[in-house]
Amino acid sequence: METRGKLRDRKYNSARQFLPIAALIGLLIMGMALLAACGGDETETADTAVETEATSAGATDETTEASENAESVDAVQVGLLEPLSGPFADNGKMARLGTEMAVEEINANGGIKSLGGAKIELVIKDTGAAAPAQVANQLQSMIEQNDLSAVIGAWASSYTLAASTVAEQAGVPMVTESFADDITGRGYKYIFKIPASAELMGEEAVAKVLELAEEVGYEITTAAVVADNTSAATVSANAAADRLVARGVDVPVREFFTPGLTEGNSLAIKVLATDPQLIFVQGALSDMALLQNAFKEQGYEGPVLGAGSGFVVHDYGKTVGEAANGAFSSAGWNWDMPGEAAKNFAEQFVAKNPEFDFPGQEAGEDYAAMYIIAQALENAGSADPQAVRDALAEIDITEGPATILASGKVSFDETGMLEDTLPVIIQWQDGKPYTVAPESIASRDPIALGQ
Amino acid sequence: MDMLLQVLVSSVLLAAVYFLLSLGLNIILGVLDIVNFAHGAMLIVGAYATYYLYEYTGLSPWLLVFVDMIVVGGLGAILYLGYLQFTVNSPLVRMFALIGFSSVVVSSILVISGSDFRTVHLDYGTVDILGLPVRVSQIVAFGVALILGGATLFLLNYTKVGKAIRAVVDDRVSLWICGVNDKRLSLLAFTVGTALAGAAGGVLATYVTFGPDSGLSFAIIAFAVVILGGLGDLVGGALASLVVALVLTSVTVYWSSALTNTALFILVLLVLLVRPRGILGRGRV
Amino acid sequence: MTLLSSLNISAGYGDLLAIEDMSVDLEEGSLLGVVGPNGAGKSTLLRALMGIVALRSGRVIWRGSDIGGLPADARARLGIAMVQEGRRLFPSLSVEDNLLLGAYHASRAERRERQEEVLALFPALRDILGRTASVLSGGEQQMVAVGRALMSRPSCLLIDEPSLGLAPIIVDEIYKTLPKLLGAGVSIILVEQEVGRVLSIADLLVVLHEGRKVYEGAGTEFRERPDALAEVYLGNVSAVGGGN
Repeated sequence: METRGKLRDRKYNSARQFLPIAALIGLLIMGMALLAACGGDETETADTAVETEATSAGATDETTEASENAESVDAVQVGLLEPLSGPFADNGKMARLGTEMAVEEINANGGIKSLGGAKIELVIKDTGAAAPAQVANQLQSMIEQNDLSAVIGAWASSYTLAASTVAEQAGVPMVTESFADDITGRGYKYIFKIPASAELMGEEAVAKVLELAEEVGYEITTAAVVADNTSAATVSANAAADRLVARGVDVPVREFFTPGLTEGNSLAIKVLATDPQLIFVQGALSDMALLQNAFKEQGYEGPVLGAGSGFVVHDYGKTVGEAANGAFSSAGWNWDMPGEAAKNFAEQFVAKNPEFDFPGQEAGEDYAAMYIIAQALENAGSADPQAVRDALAEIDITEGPATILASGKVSFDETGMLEDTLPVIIQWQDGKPYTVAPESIASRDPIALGQ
Repeated sequence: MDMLLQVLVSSVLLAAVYFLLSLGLNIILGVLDIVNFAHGAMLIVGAYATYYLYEYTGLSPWLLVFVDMIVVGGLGAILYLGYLQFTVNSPLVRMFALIGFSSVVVSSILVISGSDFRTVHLDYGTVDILGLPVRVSQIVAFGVALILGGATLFLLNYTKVGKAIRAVVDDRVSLWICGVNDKRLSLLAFTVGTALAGAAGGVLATYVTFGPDSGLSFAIIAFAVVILGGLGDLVGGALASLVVALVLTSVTVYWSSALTNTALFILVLLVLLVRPRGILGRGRV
Repeated sequence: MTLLSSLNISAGYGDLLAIEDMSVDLEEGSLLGVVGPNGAGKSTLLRALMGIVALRSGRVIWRGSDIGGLPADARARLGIAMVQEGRRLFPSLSVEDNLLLGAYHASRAERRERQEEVLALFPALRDILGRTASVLSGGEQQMVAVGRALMSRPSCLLIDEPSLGLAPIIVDEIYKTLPKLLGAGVSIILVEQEVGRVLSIADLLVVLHEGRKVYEGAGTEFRERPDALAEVYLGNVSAVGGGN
């Protein structure tokens, strides 16, 4: 038995010797963890619980009256692969809420009638903050473990690019709310993309802001571009900078920061030193909140422009506060789209989810995506993914819930792009994003710049 | 020149907050030889406490800083009394214990509050200091940091209990033979240390946007300050806070904001090599 | 009346048993000298009495009750004080604060009064009250260490090798205070490697060797027959050597 005093004494000494090492180890561990959490490409295994939701809403009244060539199945499985936790959780959750709402409605209305009233069963998987390659594996095992007729996902461009390759090889059609243009440019047959091209959206956003500036006589000669150094943000920031330069605007600062800022003042000092009349910002919500407030405090009154992501998160207005007012962004969808269907959806969504005062971008996109898939199943009369894919390629919807999209109708071109899509340009006004361009779908006039 | 002044003003304001961030960590390290790996979690509990108390009571967030101290200090006391004091006095064991505790806290916050980012919006406007518009709340944060930092230094240097706490660092056995129970002092030091982390979190809540994971970035700064200042050296820590703030700010402004952490780590590595006892050479090794 | 005694105690560190089956008694108002060569277990005996080292067996009796299970700080509060080997002050604190912590549980006024007593005993400390302990000379440190122990107004003082590493003139200074303390009613156990000085003031002398008590006798006995001590010492040393 060691004596009490000596025990303490000895351990105490070793503890002292160990301290700086422990502190350094700790610092390094934390540093690595931070990088892992923030660097978009880093690996962090997320909980990959597969939740299966058999939505059993009401018994089917219209009993099986299947056409001859149609199979009769009890349920059709559709996958939903979204970032439900991690940095994009807000976006992923919106996607889930929209999709689930569509599934409930479809099932309550008698399911897929050509399949004998088959119910849609959602197979949900959380990508977490995993690396893109892992997301591909997640989809692979989802496909192996279930009989998916189609899949919706996977929000982030990098995730979608990786996952769509798996979907293509497995022959399962994938409908995505992702922006990136490369997704449809690869000759894939099984990918269908809801939002307008990122190129188009970026172009339209810059054009709109410059046009508006000209209208009110606000001269934009210098702009600054600030984004976090994750690949998605870097790409859209560089694209915006190039567009501005192409229009004769000087962009002396392109600043890429590591996500997880602890303060915004120093970046604001640097950016505002170039005296910009327009600032493009892209990054996670918390970082944008710090930056935009710092810009504002240091006297910047010009417009702020973003490209989706954090700018269309429901909480953006609340989190960024007053500095959010007037911020422009492109979006894949907005809650104030014209038409009855969109109005109904927005109202019902808020009634169902009272914690939100409007449905977010992904909720609308994936609500429509689910209806598009349901229609394809209906048309195909089969749960076979190949048949669903063919039906999707041929689909032509002009009425019903799927028309809440900006295009107001649904059909895909041979690359899988939604035809006649419009780039939605929103501006935050009084805590909500309003569509301000293009004119055909705008619900409000933009607030003038420099105010 | 203008920019240089701005960098200086911004750094000085930040330094006070960084000092506050590091205080609790430093005391727990100095008195108990415990590297508090739950420091980031404690910070964030303080931030959330301010957020919710502000939402529900509408009290001044500056008043709430002191409530945070009670909340987080209480949590620290419970952690120490109910768990830590029973663990083997080994830095490794306690490191893992505290990392574990920290994960529990962060995931509890996630369950309770979700992953949404929170912030306490204080619109007190800005004032101009040497050409840099500074948010008034940031100046108050500076003041609170100075008051709490000063109070801690006063406690340790000019009160009987504070002197006894420093004596624990110096020589625990000698303290026993003076008839002083070091267990109570250890509990007190841990409680004070975590309470200060809570206060720091409360101050953070007033000017940054935070989520359940945000404690980490700030804990890293706190660790860097403690290492640069010398383990257990609070005055060195004050100086180190200024150095860290200056480095982070000027790397951002004059170089690239993507390299701030890299610069910080290089600085820490150099100091560990050249001045392992910290800037003033008075820390422990 | 016996103030503090050990009854057949054993104590040690790790696999090493530093003292075995040792019994010593300190009579109230007396000075017990403990001598012996390096490694005899003298310091361990004091540390076991103080409670810094736990007992493996045996009992420690204070004023008739067993205090073997009490931690050091509780024993200190009973009235046992100790001056450790190597002084062991609080290096980052000032002399005054070192003294203050010696009387941690006393009131402010009481502390002031006791500090005046200590300064009367060691007038040299008055000028260095504000100095940090780490910069003191060895002699100054020893005075502070004794002073800090006295700040608790102990009835029993354990002193471990006060002469170690100090100039003879300073050791004289320290030793001069011991009779004063005895006169003030403080009983003392004094551990020294060097026998001479202890011998001059000890009421009772205990000789340790290899963790055991090998001899015990009244101080007067040795003072009258200095060669007796040499016998005790040499006898054991040769026994250690293994020769006869």
